[in-house]
Amino acid sequence: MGNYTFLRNIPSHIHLVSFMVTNPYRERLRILLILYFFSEPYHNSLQPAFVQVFRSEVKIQKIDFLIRYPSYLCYELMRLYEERGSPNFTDLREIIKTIFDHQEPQLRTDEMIRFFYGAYEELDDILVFLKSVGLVDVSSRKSVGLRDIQKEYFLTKYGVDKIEKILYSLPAARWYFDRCELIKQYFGDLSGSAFKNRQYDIEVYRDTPLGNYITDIEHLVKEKYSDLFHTQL
Amino acid sequence: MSALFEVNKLAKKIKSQLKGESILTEEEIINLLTFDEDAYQRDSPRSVGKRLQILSLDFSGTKGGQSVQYTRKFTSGVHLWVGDNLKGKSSIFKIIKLAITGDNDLAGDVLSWLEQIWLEFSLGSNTYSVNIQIAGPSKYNVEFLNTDRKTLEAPHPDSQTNQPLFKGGLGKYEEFIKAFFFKEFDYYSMQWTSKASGKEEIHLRTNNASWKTYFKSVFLEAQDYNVLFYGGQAELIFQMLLSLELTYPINRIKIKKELLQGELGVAKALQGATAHSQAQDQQSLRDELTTIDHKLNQLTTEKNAALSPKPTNVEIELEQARNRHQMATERRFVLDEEIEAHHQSIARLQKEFNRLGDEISKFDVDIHKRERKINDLKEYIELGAFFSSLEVHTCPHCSHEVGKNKVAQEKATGNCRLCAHELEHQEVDSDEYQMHAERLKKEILQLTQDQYKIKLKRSDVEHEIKATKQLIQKANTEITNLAIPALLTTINKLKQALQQTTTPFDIEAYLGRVSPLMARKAVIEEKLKILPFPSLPAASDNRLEIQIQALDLALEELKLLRETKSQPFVSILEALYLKQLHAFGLSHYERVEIRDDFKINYSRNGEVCTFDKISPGEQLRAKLGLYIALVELDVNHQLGHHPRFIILDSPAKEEGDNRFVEGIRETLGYIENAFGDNLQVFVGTAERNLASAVPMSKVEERGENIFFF
Repeated sequence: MGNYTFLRNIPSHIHLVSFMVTNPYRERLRILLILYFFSEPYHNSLQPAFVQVFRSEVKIQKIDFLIRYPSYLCYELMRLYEERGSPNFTDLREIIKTIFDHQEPQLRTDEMIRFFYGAYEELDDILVFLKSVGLVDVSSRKSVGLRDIQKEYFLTKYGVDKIEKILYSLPAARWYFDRCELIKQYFGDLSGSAFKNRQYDIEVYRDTPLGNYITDIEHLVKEKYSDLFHTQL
Repeated sequence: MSALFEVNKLAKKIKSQLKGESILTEEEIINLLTFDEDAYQRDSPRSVGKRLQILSLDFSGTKGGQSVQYTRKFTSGVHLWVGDNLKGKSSIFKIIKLAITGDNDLAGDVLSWLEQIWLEFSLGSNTYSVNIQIAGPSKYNVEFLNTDRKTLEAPHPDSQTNQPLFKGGLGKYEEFIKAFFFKEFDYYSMQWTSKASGKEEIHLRTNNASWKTYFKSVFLEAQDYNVLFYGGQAELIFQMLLSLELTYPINRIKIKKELLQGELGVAKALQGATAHSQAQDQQSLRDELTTIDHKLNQLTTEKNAALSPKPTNVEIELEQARNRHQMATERRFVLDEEIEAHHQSIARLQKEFNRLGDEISKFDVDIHKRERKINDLKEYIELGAFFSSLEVHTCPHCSHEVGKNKVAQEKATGNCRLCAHELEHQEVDSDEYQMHAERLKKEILQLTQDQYKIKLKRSDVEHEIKATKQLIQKANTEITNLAIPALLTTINKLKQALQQTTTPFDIEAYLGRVSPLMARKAVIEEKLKILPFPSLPAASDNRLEIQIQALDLALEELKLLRETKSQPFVSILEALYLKQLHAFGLSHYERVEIRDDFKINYSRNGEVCTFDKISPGEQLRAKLGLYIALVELDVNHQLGHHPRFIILDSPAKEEGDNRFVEGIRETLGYIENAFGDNLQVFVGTAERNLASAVPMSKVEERGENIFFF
């Protein structure tokens, strides 16, 4: 690598030692990839720069939650198996074992705060940045009472190119690409509400007091894994 | 107050109570009540201040061609012989008894090889030696010397001390040693009556208690632990040990009364026989005599069989079963202790295992922290480079495209194209980040290595836990295989079989059956003598009855007087006895009362009972408590006449109950600590746990199946 000059377009408290507290680059990457993987193709001659659209802020939050909590992802995969049989028994075991072998609950968990509607992260700053550099655009339709009733998140052609040609080749981003693919494979068809309802089924999640960080459920995953596969993680 | 005066006073009182029965004069009553010159001053509860202490025992012989030599020295206090049953402990005690009393209880198989015995003992400040040479059956040569063996072995040429005080056979030695100890402990022969054993004898005979009799308060054997004093003369022994005032005259008056009662019984029987003899056929008398002889022979045979020392097969089997049970119980005790120790080990190891687990977890936390830092560094560099390389094209506020002129202005001035503020450029040295990451990787490696060492330790601990659990399992399996309940069942069956084949000989019952037969036989023989002389003068003298009545009154008076005079001493003994019972763990005993017939009442939980009603688990301690109370009575109050030497043979013979054994162990330890300087106790036991009751220097132990000699 060489030397880099980073523009000071990040909050002043971020520096080498404390960057792990909040890492804005990571957050930008996650949201960008969520929009990339979970959006639909978009064609509008009036907006030729936009090639993909994503319509649900709730869904962004819920998918972001699954990326940030590998344990909850494992738990949901096991529930999905019990409900639908997908992923199959072998794949499921392999996926969860790999996640735990890589110690992802310890290394990749990035805690979120519980707000009124569940896990929540403030997205405005992230989206503002992504918009300013031309990767995404955001629009919202307002009701007669001037409430946002639907937000639309557009990915630009420029953004897609940057993702596929540059970001995809960065080793640091590899894990995020793989994770989004995994979530899309098994949860891609769920709506934001469906995601929300599933997450509220989990007692630890549901009973987290407002304003508190949602605690990890590694121990529940191990118990459930043991029940399913009769072996210990 | 002279003896004569007391007797006169007593005779006068008795005379007055015999109003209307004036056959006896006062002088005749005085004659009835007169014995030895000092009969009424004979007794004193004051201690003689001496105790019997065995100093050494030495015996030898040739057993099956092999030379046998046994030697042991003794000090004051409690001494133990610990070894399996039937391995010589009782024989050692019987050798001591032979040397001290002249009474030979040794089994034939021991006497067959025993050739010489040396016993040293002290009495007060004097030391004595007994040497018994055994040349063959009934060929005993005994020497009794007024010195110790060391002096004997290196005597002064002018010394008279190596001249024996006695030299002769065992029979004469028994008389000598009785006189010796009677003099030393101020004993005399308490008497009792019994039917004479001669064929022609119809009268009672008087029996005298000997040193051998009183030695029963010294040598306590397992089969005797269910009685306070062994033998039919239990109360006499107790009276001798206390030597309360007036004991001698009371005993003699009682004997005189019984003898007169015997004579009266014979006279009445003869009178009856005379009245009926004329009407009875001689032949029927002879037939009845034959029947009586047959019954007497049968009773004698039963008595001899019961008193025979030779064990039956059932007894041998029972002894062997007890031995096996003893060994199994001891082994069980050891295994229980081992299991307990293993459990404690496991608890300790588990704690260590958990602690090591916590350490491993802490290492994990530290390792993960560093791995996250490395990850964060990587993301910061790579993603930071990516996002920082993107140019701002659109105003985030109004969504308008930033004009080219603004872009050019930014490049020229270094001010933000959107807000015109000066841009701050942060130089990021990626090599520095790389070095930091490398440093973190090295730390992770070191932590991983350190963690691995802890994991190895934990693995060892886990292995040790597993091995210890296996040891517990093995011990439990061994306990099951000991089959102790089955052994107890076998013992109980054998005991029942033994009771059926050999009932304990009840001498009282024997005498109760023999006496009337003997009396009837005597009557028949007299009848047969006087036939065909039907005319005999009828007995009309009721002198005997008056004499008996006078003696009864005398007994009543003297017993009352003895009770009054002795009450303080008896109260002290009762208090000491109760204290000892409590010290031996029998704290539920509330009171002991020594009755005027010298039986003892025990009050427990508001109920009163005698010794025979006490549970077997408590009887031994109750018995020991009395003896120790007698010792303490002597030591602290200078009262009583116990020799302060006790032999306990097999005090825990059958009890597999660990609590009982523990109670005995504590009792022996207490005796050793509290009274060790003032008495000597010899204990023979197969219960190996008792070995720890006293210092090891006082314990002689033999391994499984090993003889003591």
